[in-house]
Amino acid sequence: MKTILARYNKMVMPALMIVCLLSSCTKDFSEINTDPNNITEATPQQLLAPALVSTMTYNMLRNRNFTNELMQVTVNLNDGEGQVFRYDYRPNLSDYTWNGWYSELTNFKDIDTLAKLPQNFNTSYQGISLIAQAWIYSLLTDTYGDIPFSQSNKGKTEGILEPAFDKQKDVYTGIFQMLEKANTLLANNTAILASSDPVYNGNISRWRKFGNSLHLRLLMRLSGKAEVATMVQQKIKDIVETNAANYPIIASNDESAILRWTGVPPYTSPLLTVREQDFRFPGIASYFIDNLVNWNDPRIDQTLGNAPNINRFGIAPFQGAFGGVPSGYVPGTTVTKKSYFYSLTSAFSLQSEPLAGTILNFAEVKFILAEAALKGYITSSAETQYTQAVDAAIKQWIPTWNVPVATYLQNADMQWATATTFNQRMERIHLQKYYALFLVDMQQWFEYRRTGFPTLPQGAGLRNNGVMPARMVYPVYVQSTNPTNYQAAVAIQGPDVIATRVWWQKP
Amino acid sequence: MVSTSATSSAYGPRFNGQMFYQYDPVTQKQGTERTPWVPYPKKIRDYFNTGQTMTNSISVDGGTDKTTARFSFTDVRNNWITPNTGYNRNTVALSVNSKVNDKLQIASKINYTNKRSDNLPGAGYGNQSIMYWFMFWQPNADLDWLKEYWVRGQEGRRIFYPFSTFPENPYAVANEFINSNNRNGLTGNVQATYQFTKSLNLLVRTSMDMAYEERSQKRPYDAGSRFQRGSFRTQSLFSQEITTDFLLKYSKKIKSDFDLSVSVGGSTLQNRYNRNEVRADSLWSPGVYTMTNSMGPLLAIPFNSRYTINSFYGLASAGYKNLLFVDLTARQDWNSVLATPLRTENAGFFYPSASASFILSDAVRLPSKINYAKVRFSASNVGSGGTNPYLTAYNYASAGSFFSGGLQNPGLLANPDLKPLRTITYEAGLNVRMFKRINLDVSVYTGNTKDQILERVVHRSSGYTRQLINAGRVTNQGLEVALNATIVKLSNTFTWSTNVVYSNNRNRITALNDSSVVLQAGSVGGGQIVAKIGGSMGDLYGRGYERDPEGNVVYDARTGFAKITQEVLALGNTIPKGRLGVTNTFSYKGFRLNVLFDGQYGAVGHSLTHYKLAEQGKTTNTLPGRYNGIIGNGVVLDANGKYVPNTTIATDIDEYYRSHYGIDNAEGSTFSTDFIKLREARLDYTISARLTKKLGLQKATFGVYGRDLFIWSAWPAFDPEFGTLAGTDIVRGFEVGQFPSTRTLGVNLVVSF
Repeated sequence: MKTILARYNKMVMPALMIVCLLSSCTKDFSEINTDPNNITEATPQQLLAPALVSTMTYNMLRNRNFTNELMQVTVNLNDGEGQVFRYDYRPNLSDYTWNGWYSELTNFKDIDTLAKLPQNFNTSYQGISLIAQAWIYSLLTDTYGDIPFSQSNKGKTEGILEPAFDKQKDVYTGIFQMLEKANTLLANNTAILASSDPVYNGNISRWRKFGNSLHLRLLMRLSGKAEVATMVQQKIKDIVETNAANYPIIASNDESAILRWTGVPPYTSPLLTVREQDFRFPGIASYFIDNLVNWNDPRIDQTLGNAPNINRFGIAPFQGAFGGVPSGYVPGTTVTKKSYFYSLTSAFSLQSEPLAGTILNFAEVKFILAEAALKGYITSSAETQYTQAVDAAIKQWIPTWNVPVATYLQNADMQWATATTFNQRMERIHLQKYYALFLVDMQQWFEYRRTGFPTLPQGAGLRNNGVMPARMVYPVYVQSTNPTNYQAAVAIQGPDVIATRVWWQKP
Repeated sequence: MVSTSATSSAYGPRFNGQMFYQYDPVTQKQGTERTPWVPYPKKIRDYFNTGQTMTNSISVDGGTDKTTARFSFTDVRNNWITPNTGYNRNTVALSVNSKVNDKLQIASKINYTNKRSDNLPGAGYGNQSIMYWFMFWQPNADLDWLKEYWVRGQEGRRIFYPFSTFPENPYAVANEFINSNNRNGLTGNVQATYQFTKSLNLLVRTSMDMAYEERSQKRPYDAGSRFQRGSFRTQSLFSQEITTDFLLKYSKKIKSDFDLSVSVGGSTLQNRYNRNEVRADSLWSPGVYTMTNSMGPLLAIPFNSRYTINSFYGLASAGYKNLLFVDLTARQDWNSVLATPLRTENAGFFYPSASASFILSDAVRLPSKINYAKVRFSASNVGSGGTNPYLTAYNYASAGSFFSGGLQNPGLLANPDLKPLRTITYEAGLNVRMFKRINLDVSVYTGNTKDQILERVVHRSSGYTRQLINAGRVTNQGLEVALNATIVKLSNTFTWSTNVVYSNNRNRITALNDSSVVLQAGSVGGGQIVAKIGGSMGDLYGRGYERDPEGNVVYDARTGFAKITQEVLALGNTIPKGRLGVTNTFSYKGFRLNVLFDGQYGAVGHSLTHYKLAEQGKTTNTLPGRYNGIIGNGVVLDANGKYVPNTTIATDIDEYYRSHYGIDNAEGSTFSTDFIKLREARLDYTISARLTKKLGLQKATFGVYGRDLFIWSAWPAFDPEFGTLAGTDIVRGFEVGQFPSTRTLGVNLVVSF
């Protein structure tokens, strides 16, 4: 044996060593294993548009089959499992937005990181990144409650694969800081590549207005939460009145934050990915259509649309009139589908509507101001704000609408009436606001959860004890991919079910 | 009664021939007159055909004393079990071996294969797949209604399907959703051996494996939400792997007792893969499949990859008196997939092995019944870097060619510190021949694998979907037994022999990067494959039944539905613990009968087919209680917080079975994958030598055979042996719309001239 081993060592090992010097055996390996398909370097302008389009895709598709169903815009006439319109949805509904939003946060955070590098340094991309982050984190926390925030999206930079969940209060604090910082950064008005920005085409001052308007939206969301109410109410006043010059906000429909779908790739509406027969399938809910009919609303006027004899909302009449389906009906009830949304086979359809890309519009800002005025956070007139809000909401859709808004409100019996109760005036604001938030991600749902307005009728078939679901549960896979932090979050927030109210919903 | 008019569920009223307004195939609408409510039993299977495969092959051998050659040609024609699918394959092979002179020998092999198909079936779970339709089809509808698959008056534009909008018409899928491919593959090698002296020779060899393949997918108008205006996609794929190696071998007998052989060798492997895909995902004119018919700009998706593995190795073998043998190997590999754009240090890895065997029966006197006995031991170390390049550097991906220069962060978090996988295995074996009839080979092994290269599913809030990791350490222990026995042997006429093969394996995770590593996430009930310390690779978790301390299923006292846990439970392991195969061979004169049974045990899997069918009330386990309600077998929590037997009648039967088999309950559709199969039976008859000679032949054999003839298994879908393809990986544990398994019957004729 010994001799064999000796020979082995004498012959084989030196041969191995000599024949192949390490360097020659790994010659060109670095080059061979450099990915020729992808790229290691990126600039902020390359990341912005794809991240905005992807985020809008998640928002719009869930707006269609989640918000519209919960908020009685549509009724998915189906007696099968987990119908959202019956306040009944399955845990697997949670994954799409959770995964999508966090993925895009990686891109938006990267824009900030890249825009701080000397070769790309640009304060506007930094500011836009912060606004987008604030926007997405707010969607996340308002949908799920406590979420990974301070440690999120640090898998690459800090190796954090199991981020801790932050309390919603802390998430909001962080969001507000982002928006403050964005306001400062964007004040520099540094130019960006216009084509990288499908929302404002490089108009930085409008981004700044959007950021501050988003700030208002989120302050208002916390305004009823006792422990922070004073602070947020003061901040609202600060932005709108005391310090208005330093906090420009959206002041016209042109300034609304909208990713307008031009129809030219890549800016084709995500709603076009819905099969046209599926797009027509849900019936319009009675609640949504009946109000518009009662108001004789221009948005369903067959002469004011973008195609002959089709109204601006693209709603099909049923037997010569508009009609809806009562939401929340008991499974097995015979219901007749009446009006529905036209699909792309018609001359006009929301499937290709540019405004379906609305992120935050002027009307919403005005409704926020109306509510702030009503509640005395600011000194301006609630009536003026409300009236202007309704006007903006309609003109966003029909810029040429030439009926004085006062006339419209009078005829619709929706005019501001100081003699009514506080709740009646809140109802009025939020009923009109509900139509201004039509197609805007999940804002109708968030606002309903905050205020309880507008007053939705309740069908007998509702689950969840007839209470509007307060959240989506965390995706099930989170229990295994982040077990410790998941359990800690549930221990603090309460059971991981759709009935558990998030922090700002509790008094 | 629950209306299921807008669903694919089958919880309607009993089929009693009642008169209902139903679908009218003549008008393609709801009928204006009532028709009898009847089932269409066994219709769904009419969609499937009996597949056919015809294989013809011919080969010619010949040569001179210096040169020999062999040529063969094979033609395979297949019609598969779904309409309008199948493939043709032709193979031409040539091998030449030539002794140029006493010292130099040259050999070459070349093999050309063309495989082409006009249409391959759409598989998996999605509206383009046949089995998706299978799950959604209604028992109260006639398959024949679907054969006219266009909406009348909208031929080529609108696919007709009478009920839900989820599945496609399966005849449209078969005839209009065309997936064609044509692959030309060439493999070959040239080798030369030079004999320097009697004890020293050198082998030099170059091999190549090259293929060019063209694929296309045609989709008509109305082919699902993504292809409302049809689609035409083509891919050109080129792959090439060239390996050049040499081996210098020195062998010598030292004195008379020692045999010694020492070899050193080296190889370099270069692999290249290019794929160019072009997509026209909206077409101007329906049914016209050319790129110029695209409505928008064409989408181009190029992909190129390559890797190189260089190796040097040495082998030494020594034998002593044909009694004791020792083999030693040492190998150093350098694999480019472990390199990063910045460094190459991790790319190299060394792995040795040693083995020894001892012929016990020659060394000591054993009982005479024992004809032969050998013991062997080995210790081996194996390393591997895998063959997936570009996973060691963080790369931005294109956001699609419509964004000029648009990028996005990747979903997979790359690993710049990627290390090679290492496996160390110790094995001991025994080979005994007894009674001149029994040959028993037993081996036991224990080993551990560390740094397995895996993609782990991470929490999305980390910013990523998956992360490439070197996963901890896993130990494996197992036993392998092979037994050959001639049970009956009658002189020259009848023999019966049995071959038994058994193996088992137990694996345990002993170290891990994290307390729990998710390797696969399924789509139902949070089903997922999770690795935990102390667990095994392939452990399945998912949401399941809430149970009392005695293990009874807990029901909701109000509704009567089974309660489902919010958290995930361990549901079993997806990797079989053991496998057994038994072959019996009987031969009598020219007849030879071969029967193979095999089986596996110890694993579970999740069946999406079961979940989807049961949730829709299409399986027999959803029959009880349909019309009168059902009391679930289990307990309820009473007002005092005590578990008492369930007495609540669940009347919403759809929801009751959904609580058992629906989307939230992974456990309800998890089943054992244990099985026994009659894997093969074949009977061959070889014409006697005398007759063969008379006919001027060398050999003639005629046979009939059958494969996969019977399956005994609790598995609810078709076949407990399934693998679901996800990208390039086979996913175990989750069955996702498998095709019916096929039973093969065939005849076989071999004639040698």
